[in-house]
Amino acid sequence: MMNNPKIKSALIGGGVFGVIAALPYIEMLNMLCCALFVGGGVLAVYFYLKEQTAPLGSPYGDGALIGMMAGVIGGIVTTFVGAVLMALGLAPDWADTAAVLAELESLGVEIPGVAGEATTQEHVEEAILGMELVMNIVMFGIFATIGGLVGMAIFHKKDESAE
Amino acid sequence: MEQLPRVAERSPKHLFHASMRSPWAYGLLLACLGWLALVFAPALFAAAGWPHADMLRWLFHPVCHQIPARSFHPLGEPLAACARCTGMYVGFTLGVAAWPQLPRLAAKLAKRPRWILVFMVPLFVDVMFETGAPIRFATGLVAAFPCALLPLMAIADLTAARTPTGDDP
Repeated sequence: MMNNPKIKSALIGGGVFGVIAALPYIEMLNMLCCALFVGGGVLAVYFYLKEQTAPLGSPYGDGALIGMMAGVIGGIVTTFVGAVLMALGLAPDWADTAAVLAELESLGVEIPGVAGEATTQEHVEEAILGMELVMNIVMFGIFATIGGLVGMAIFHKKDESAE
Repeated sequence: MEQLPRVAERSPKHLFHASMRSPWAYGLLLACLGWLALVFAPALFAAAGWPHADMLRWLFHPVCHQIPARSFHPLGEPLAACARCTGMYVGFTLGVAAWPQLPRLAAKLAKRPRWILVFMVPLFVDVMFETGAPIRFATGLVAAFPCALLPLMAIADLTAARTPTGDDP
């Protein structure tokens, strides 16, 4: 499986950005136009093209596929790394998040209702983790697919003779 | 019957025409419209008094900060995504709908796809400044519109790869 260049690239792109997207505070880069999710797809395509010497038959089809695979892998990685960091106390847990939100609210910052509700309910960690997994796979998948396409647009050197 | 050239010999224009005939292109447009509906739905549902509108808003929390002050408020309720993200989603959807109607322009951009990065410059400049929601919406829209060509090219690629060329055994 690791000999398949598409899977190998998707593992690298999704794995690297999946871990980055799980790191406390750094994960907020995703608020910048889903930069980390898109970045996973771009990185995967970059590694794929680096190993390809023959011209690609369907570059954008490959880019979308590699991006989507990187997204699914990234979604799984980011959820589980996030959960492990939270369990080890290296990332803010729900109580910490609730405290931060309460402080922000006291400073006059308007907090979206669902964020406040999610952090004040008890025994919801498991349910939220399951929903986060599905959500991360879907969202990471969609945006990394776009990242894969953007990566192909940036890094793919076209065979001019085919024009 | 006119024989299509092989995939590697097809120009971006050929490829693009192939994508316009693909049901996948219409599927992509439907998916984009569905996505936009999810962005607008929480505001409409909340205005209608539906108590679980925030659950829909939660769908977008991994990809948007959802700060109400940075979002549009149709009917007095914030959308599920900020103004910039809403602009990107609207721009992408418009692109998916519009690029098939602009084949010459699409072929030009498909020949030099790195130009899509130029359209992202206003967005990156805007990120560094404190601007209003309309400008954030506009820069998001401008950045995403050309990107919509890329999935259409992917559909074109995949459609062309599956189209018999006539010289296959």
